Amino acid sequence: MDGESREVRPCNWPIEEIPHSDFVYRQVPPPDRIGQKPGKYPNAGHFSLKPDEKGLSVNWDKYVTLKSIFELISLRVNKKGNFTDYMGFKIFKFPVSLLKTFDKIADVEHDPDCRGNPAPHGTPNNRAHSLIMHEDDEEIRLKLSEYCRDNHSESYCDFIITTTLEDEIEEIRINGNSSFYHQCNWPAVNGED
Amino acid sequence: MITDTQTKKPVVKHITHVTKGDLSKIWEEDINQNKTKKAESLLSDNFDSNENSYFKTIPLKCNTLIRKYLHSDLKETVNVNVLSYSLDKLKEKFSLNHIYDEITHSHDLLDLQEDWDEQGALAIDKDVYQASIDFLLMYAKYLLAEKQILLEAPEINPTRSGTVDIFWSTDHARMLINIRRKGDEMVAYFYGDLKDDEEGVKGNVSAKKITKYLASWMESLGK
Repeated sequence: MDGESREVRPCNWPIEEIPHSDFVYRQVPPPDRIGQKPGKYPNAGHFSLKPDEKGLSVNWDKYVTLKSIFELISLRVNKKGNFTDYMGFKIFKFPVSLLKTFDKIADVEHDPDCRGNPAPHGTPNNRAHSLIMHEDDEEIRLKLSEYCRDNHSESYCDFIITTTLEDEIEEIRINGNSSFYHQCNWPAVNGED
Repeated sequence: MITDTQTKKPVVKHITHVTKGDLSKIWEEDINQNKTKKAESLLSDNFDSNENSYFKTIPLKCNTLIRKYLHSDLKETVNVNVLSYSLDKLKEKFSLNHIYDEITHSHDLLDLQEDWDEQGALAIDKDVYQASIDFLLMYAKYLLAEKQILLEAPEINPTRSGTVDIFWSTDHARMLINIRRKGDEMVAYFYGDLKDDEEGVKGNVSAKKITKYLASWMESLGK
């Protein structure tokens, strides 16, 4: 989900300060990528905001791995009522320290997304959810896009979706809203909470 | 008017059957002849429409820069019925052929339904799309006619908010223009900079008319 306002729900996750040394991930669907393989990167339009959004959704690496990002994508239901096709997505990461150097980016804010305990089918919780707070600004959009192009080896997260992962995803999809991602017990990647 | 330096008579070429190769030759000869003569006028409607696939005359008048691009484009892309266009239209079409190609490619944007990225993106607003194409062609034609500058072909991309981005990245400069509604108006929001200079240009203008300040900056996006 991309930063629209939400009700506060029962996980009681604290909103934390994201350190400069951390990274945030952005998931990019196929229609938003331009350039030639293997150097494809998100176009500037990918970083635009919809009218109801206050920031650009990203995932803080304190609470997610690349694998869990794909699992989260796979559990979301699109507007047609189907599970999202996660296979075409690619992940790009941004250093928080870099984002905070842009004048037009006000902040990178932790914005944990709790939909319930358990969350409803199709809308899992996401403790990693964060927002890049910017106006819908052409300069920022262009620079985020070109950062991915010019620093492709650092920004692009090369992750292979194995058949094992596909099987795991199939299983958690079948289990409805009983997955880890639908609960509120969501520790940090390094095990701390 | 180009004249022969000895006779002072207008120089015209009599062409028989027009083929892709012939057209290439015409332009090639034209360039060679005009190495010592200044061509200043533009091509004009001067073919005999009664003779179907025959040109009667081709006046050797057009700006050297334009002719150069016509020549290079014609060599690769002549596959249309040239007689369905006036020569002015033909010149414009082939000069901006690379931009028309990108526009054709961008028609797919209109097929994007709501949630086309499976992340909640809005469908592309048809009026915004049309305004974006009109804007691009308006500036491309203006720069060609007034400044003899041929714009590079931009990328035309959708945005998640249902608007349209026009984006150039050349060896020297980059520019992003977003066309969107503001009230009842179509507005072009832009940011551009030269790659060796951090100072950029930024602002917004009406998408319906040429703003000379923006057009002047867009000269950096020429071929």
